[in-house]
Parts: sequence; C-alpha cells; structure tokens
Amino acid sequence: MTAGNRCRRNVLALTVPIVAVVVVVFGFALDRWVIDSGIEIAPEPAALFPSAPIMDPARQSDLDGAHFDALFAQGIAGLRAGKPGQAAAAFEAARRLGPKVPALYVNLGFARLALGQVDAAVESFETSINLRPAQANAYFGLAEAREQQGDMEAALGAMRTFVHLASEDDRFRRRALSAIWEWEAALGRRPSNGTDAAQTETNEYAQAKGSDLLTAELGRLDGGSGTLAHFRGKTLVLNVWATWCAPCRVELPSLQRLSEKLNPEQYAVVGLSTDEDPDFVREFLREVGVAYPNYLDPGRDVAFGILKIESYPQTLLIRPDGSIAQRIVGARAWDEPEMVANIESVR
Amino acid sequence: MSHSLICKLASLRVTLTCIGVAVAVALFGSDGDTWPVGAMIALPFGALCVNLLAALTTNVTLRASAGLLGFHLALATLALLAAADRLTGLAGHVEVTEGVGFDPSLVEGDIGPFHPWKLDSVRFVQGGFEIDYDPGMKRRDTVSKVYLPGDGQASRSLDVGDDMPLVIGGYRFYTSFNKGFAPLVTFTDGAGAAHTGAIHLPSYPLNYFKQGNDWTIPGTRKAVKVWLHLPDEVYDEEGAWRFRKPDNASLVVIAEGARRELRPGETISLSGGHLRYEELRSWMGYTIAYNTLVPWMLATVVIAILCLAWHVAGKFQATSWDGAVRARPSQTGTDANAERRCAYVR
Amino acid sequence: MFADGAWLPISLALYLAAALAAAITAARNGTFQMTIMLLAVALTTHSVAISLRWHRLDHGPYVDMFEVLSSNIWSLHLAVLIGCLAIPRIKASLATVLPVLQVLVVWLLFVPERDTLAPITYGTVWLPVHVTLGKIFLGCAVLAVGLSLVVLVRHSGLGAFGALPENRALDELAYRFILIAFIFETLMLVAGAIWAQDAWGRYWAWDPLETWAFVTWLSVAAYLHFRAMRRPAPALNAVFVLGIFVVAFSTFFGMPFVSTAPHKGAI
Repeated sequence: MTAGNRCRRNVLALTVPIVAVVVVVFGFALDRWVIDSGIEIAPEPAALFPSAPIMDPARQSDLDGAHFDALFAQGIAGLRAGKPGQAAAAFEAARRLGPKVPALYVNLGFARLALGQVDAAVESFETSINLRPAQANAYFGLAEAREQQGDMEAALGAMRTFVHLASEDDRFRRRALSAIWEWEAALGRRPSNGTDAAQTETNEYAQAKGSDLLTAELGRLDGGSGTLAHFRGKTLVLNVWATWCAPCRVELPSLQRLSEKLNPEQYAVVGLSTDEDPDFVREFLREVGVAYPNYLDPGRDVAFGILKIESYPQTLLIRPDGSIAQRIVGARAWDEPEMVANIESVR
Repeated sequence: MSHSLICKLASLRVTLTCIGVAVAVALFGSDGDTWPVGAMIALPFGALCVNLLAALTTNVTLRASAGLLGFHLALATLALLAAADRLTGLAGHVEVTEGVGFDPSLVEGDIGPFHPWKLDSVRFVQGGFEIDYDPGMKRRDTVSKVYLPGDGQASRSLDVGDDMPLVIGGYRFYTSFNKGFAPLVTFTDGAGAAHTGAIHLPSYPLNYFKQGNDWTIPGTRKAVKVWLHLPDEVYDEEGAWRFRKPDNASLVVIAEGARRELRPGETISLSGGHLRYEELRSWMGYTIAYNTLVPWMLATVVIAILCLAWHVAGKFQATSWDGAVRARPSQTGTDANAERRCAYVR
Repeated sequence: MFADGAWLPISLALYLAAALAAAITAARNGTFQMTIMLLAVALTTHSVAISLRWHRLDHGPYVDMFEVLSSNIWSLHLAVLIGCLAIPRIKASLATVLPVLQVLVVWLLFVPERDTLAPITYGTVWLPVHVTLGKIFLGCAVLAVGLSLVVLVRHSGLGAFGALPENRALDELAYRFILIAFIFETLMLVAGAIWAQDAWGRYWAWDPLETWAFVTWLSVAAYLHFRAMRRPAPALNAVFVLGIFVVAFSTFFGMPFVSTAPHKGAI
C-alpha cells in the first residue's frame, strides 16, 4: 500500500461521516429555524367538535366488495361452463351489491341472451352502455340481441360502434365485421357484385342515412324513449351537443332564439345531447332557458353510430325527407339573418 | 465479492445504462400516468447507488477528490431520503363541508406504506371562504376560515388559503381550485330517526352546468337526485366577482318520478319518510401533503451543490481560463483504457 | 417615451443586425467591434422594454410564452456578450452562436403579446430566484454551444475560424461552461422545488416541465461521466454539447409551449 493510497482512503473515510453529520445537523437547523411551515397547529388528542356525517354515495358500493367479487366470478364460471341460468342468478345477486359495474351488465346480458330472454338482454346491454358509453363488448351483445329481435338497423348501428371501440386485436372483431357484411347485404345495402368491402363501408359512413336517423330510438328527457319520426315533413335543425362541451353551451341561447324565429309549421330545432342523465340535462336546459325539444343519446348510437359525429357541437340541417343537407361543425350565432336564411333555403 | 464483478458494477456502462433507464422511466411514465414514475425511478437510482458504491472501491479519481466524492455521496443520500419520503409521506385530497369537522376517513390519495397515520388527531371545522376572481374568470386570493379547538369549549379561527397552508401535526392543508356548494338535507324516516347529510355538488364554477348529484338516503336503497337551481349566475365571466353562496337558490329534488323545488326549511314527503332541505352550504377541497424529511433533503442537496462547486473550482484553478484557451497537451487516448485498468484499491 | 411595446421591435431588429454583422465579420476575418456594439445597444433597448412591461404589469417576465421567450432572448444574448468580453479570444464564436439565437428572435415575432396576470402562487421570492438560475444555466449552455459549433464547422471543413484557439482549447472551454451550467441547473431545480413545496405542498410532481428539466440534468450527468471516463475527441464532445442543448431547449421552450403556461398543471 502506497502513501498515496492511504491518503485517498482517508478522503473517503472522512467524507462519508462529514456528509452524514452535516446533512443531519443542517437538516435539523432548516427544520427548526428556516423552513416556513405555514400556520402550524399542534394536533389535538381528543374530539372537541361534533362532526356531522357526510354521505358519499360513491362509498356505499364499496361496502360488500369481496362478496360482489365472489358472485361475479361465480357468474363468469357459469357462463364458461355453459350454465347461463346459474350465471344469470349470480350476476343478479351481484347487481344488488354493485349496481354500477358496467361489465356486470354485459355478462348478465350474455347470460340472458343464452337463456333466450332477448328483451331482458337488450335492457342489460343498454344499462351497461349507459353506465359506460365506451364499454365495447356491450355493443357486440346489443347487436346480437337486436338481430334476434329482428331490428337489423339497430343491430348494424351497435355492431359498427363495437368495431369502432374494440381494440385491433379483439377476438370478436372478425365476427363483428362479417356480421356487418351479412346484415348490410340482408338490408340490400351492399352491392352484390363484390365491391371492396372497406370502401363501401366508408361510403356508408360518409352519407349517413337520414332514414336511420328518423327511426332510431332516442332517450327522452322525461326518461322514456322515442324517435324523431314525427318531424318527417319538416326541415330539421339537429344540434348534437353535451353539457360538458363549452362551445355547445355558448350557442344554446342562439338556437333557442332561432327556434322562436322559424315557422314551426315547416321547421323544427331539435337538440341531441350525449349526456347520460336526462334529469340533469333537463334542469340545465331549464336554467339556460331552452324550450325546443331535446333528446338523449348517451351511448352515441345515433351521434356516432349513424351520424359519425366525433366532435361537438355539430349541427345537421335535415331535409323534410330525412336526408342530410348540411353538416355544420362548431358553434354558431344561429339567429343571425344569414344563418336563418341558409336554414330556410333547405328544402 | 470478486474483483472483476466489482469492476463491472463500477463501470461507465452501468452508469450510462442507469441514466438511460431513468430518462426512459421519466419520459414514458409522465406520459398519461402509465405507471407511477416516483416508484419506478427507484430502480435506476437504486442501481446507480450500487454503481457508486462499487466505483468508490475502484475509481481513484473519485476517491481522491473530496468535492467529487461528497457530491456523489450527497446525491446517493438524497435518493435514499426521497425514497424514504415517498414511503412515509402522504399526498392526498379531501373535501370539507362548511360548518362540519374535517373527517380523516374521507381522505383519498397516495398514502405511503409506512406512513404514520396521524390524521385522526387532526381536528378543524371548516368555516366559510371567500375567493376573488379577476375579469376573465382568473382566480385570485382564497381566504378560507377554519376553526380550531381552543381552551375549553372555546374555539379560535384562522384564515388560510393559497400558499399559506394550515399545518397540523405535520400535515399541510392547501386550499385548491376545487370547491363548491353543498345542500344540507335531513331525511326523517317513519320511525322518526333523522339522517342529515351534506350533498357535495360538483366543483363550482368549473362545473356550473352540472350542479346536481345523486344521493342515496342512508339506511335505504332509495336514491334521489338533487339539483341546485341558481336563478342568477353567481359568477361573472366578464367582470370581477367573488365566490359566494347565492341568496335565492332553490333545491330541485327529483324523486319517485316527481320534480319538486324546495326553499331552505321546506319539507317534502317521500315514501317512508320526509326530506327537509335545511340550507345551502359550501365545501372546500384541500390538498394534503405530509413530507417530514424535506429539511434533510434540502440540506443534502445544498451539500451536494457545495461539494460540486468546490470540485469544479479546484478543477478551474488547476489551469487558468486563459490557460484553457491556449492549447493544452493532447490527452485524447491516454486514458481511453482507464476503465479497463480497473484498480481495486484496498 | 415609447410604450414597452415599441421598444421590443427595435431591440429584435438590432439582435438580427448583430447576428448578420457577426456572420459578415467572420467571413471577412475582421474584428467584432460592430457586432458587440449592436448587441450592447439591443440589450439596452430590450432592457427598457422588459422593465416598462414589468412596471406596468407588476410582475416579472415569466408568466406566458411571450414573456418567457422575450426574457430568454435578453438573458442569452447577455450571456454571450459577457462571455465574449470576459474571454476575448473566443469572440469569433459570436458568428456561430448569434445565428442560433435568432431562431428565438424570429419565433418571438409570431407569439402574440398579451397582458398577463401572475397567478397567486407566483408571489414568492423563490420564483425570480428559480428563473434567474435557469437563465444562467441556459446562458452557459449557449456559450458552450457556440464553441462546439466552431469545432463542428472546422471538423466538416466549412470554415477555419483562424482567429479562434485550436479545437482542444475550445473543447476544454465548452466543458467548463457545461460544468457551470450543470451547477446552475441543479440550483434551478432546487429553487423550483423549494417554491413548489412552499406554494403547493409538493416539491416534485413530475409535471411535463419538471420531467424534462430532470431529463436535461440526467443528460448533462451522462455527458460528464462519459467525458471523464473516455476522454473523447473534441468533435464528439461538440455533438454531445449540442445534444444537451437540444434537450434543454425543448425543456425551456418546447414544454411551456405545448402547455401554453410554464408549470401549467400547478397553477
């Protein structure tokens, strides 16, 4: 060992304790005298203040978490074993504990579908979509159920939504695409000469069918459902919006004024909100003074599935025969004379 | 441990790989919360600590310079302190209703596995608060009144807000942008038992368009919806305004298929009991921070910087700046094999 | 007296003129008297513009993109001027560094100037400390970039820069600037953490700007280790310095630009 080495070792042996000691002492000094700690209060050992309970609805569903998980797993096992009756019972029981779990309703839907309870299955899938509009497999189930009901339009819309939402490697994707192909052929949409499938699909999207729109089922603000069929024969200003969308909120008053300006015999302004809760949409519209009819499309079956709308607000001018005349993206001042004139030019 | 293994652990390749991994963790982790960066970064930094320990035994330059050595040791200490701080710390948030005590069971957030939970002894009651807004909805000062236990039955009040937190038992409570209205309602069931609750509506004015919430009546599965009807806007998009509780707001209760509008003090009958709208309150959202190791982390980092500055100053003194401008004898290649000459100094 | 808005275009024109003068001087192998004079005048008028705006809005230039960019143009040119006056033999690197800085000047022409309001948590001494330390860091990095560019220009055979010392000496100087930059970047991170802990109760939260500043710090650390252990040739070092500058540049100007306000998440 050389003298140089010893010297280097001494540096190491000295630096380590020096750094350690200085950190501790300096840190303590900072803690004690330097760092401003806001308004510091000593904690209290005893309760001096009564605390009123705050009820948090989100917490209640956590209560029976473990039990819920067990029932859910039991249901899945039932489905896999080909025992839909058992599965449905397990899911029904789980639902009482966790009424807001979208995946639960999808599986319940498939169980009911397997049992032949088609209407009940539709209800389950729709509940799931209401809880979580991006629940892809719920659209798949909904499409199959709608097909069994014979409602090919609705089945097609739901299946397209599934294809849009599902990941590229979803194992049901291929089945979905072939179902779309088959159903389109059944509806006479697909040319029989075997044009490129993707091309045709794009075209279908681009020229969304007004007739699909007028017959599509929409939520009403009173909680029921209905269609736009009774507007046939009028030029329709269909505003697709959502409460959380700021530009949408800005243009609502001008749409209301527009609805008061137009001749109600020939024109109608209609809102289509993609919000989930009809009550809150109704209260909001009441607050901002909107009186023209509004409908709900929480699953975006119509807004995306039929109309291919991905950004809000978007307003469609629809001819009396139900075909789309214009697509206006973004917010406008709807009661300006030139906007009114433009709308009145649509026939 | 064998000599060659230590040399491998001490190698530049390990240092650069660890730094590369740290960069990757930081960049990909911060992109959409795919993983918690704070936890993942411990991997490359733990490895860097091992790399440093190994280099301490082999790298002559590192051992010879007290400044360089001190800098590295302080950085390693900082990494350990940061890890310890994360394991014992708390970064949470809570909403507290006006007139109601802070409830620790409502705190949510990141709670370190070794956090010494002392929130149960934290007591304060939220008072009212004032928030000024400049034109264009720009939030200015927040003054939030809190009441603290005083001597005997008395209590004392304090104003906190913005960068002036309320600190109790090491927990720092900062007011946040998150605050809103909370209607206070009482449900009295058939047996006469009363349940009072404050329903926190979404943050205001951020969610002014959705001042509604669901409320499950305690002890039942009955859900009602409430909506706060504000005849006049509380906020002013153009001008200056102050957050306040509106005088003329009413509570819309949607239950059992009916919509009813209540003024404070009014009661409606529901199947199984009565629902009374007591009054409108507000709620304040706080972020809570607990980091007791901060002073030591600061001390460590100050020492690190002093050591580095010392080391660099020594380097600069070895040749003058003018000397640096003049050509120095070529060094390229002379130490190119420095790493291969890994000297394990005993 | 002009309003602050009028002083700025004059200053920007002078910066551009200084860069042009530097390029011409380098081509003619002349002295850089004219460049340095233009730079000094530009800095003076720009100081007036910044001071007037500071006085009018009652907060320093660190709230929006316009202010961040403007104040960095000022501080980076000032760093270059000080560097060249302190070490006169590197004056000729003005011809490489000033054109780089004009990217910021031209960029500023496209950034809208609005009156800003400092968020409430900006009322602390740690903010100007944090910002100043950051500016020193970037100033040192820019000086290193000027020298590294000279090395690379020579390496690629595009110019000789006869007035400047040989590559090895430039490399050593660039290294020194990077060392100082590293110290000031560390200080900047610490001052920022102190401010954040004070104002929001979190000393580090991995917001995009913090993450990128940390990545910059790591990239400097990686370079210093590589250089100390392998002693690479000047041209390779120059590439590293440029790489560090690119990362630092995207941190300072890319991240606040993406999120429109510096440390957007925290406000």
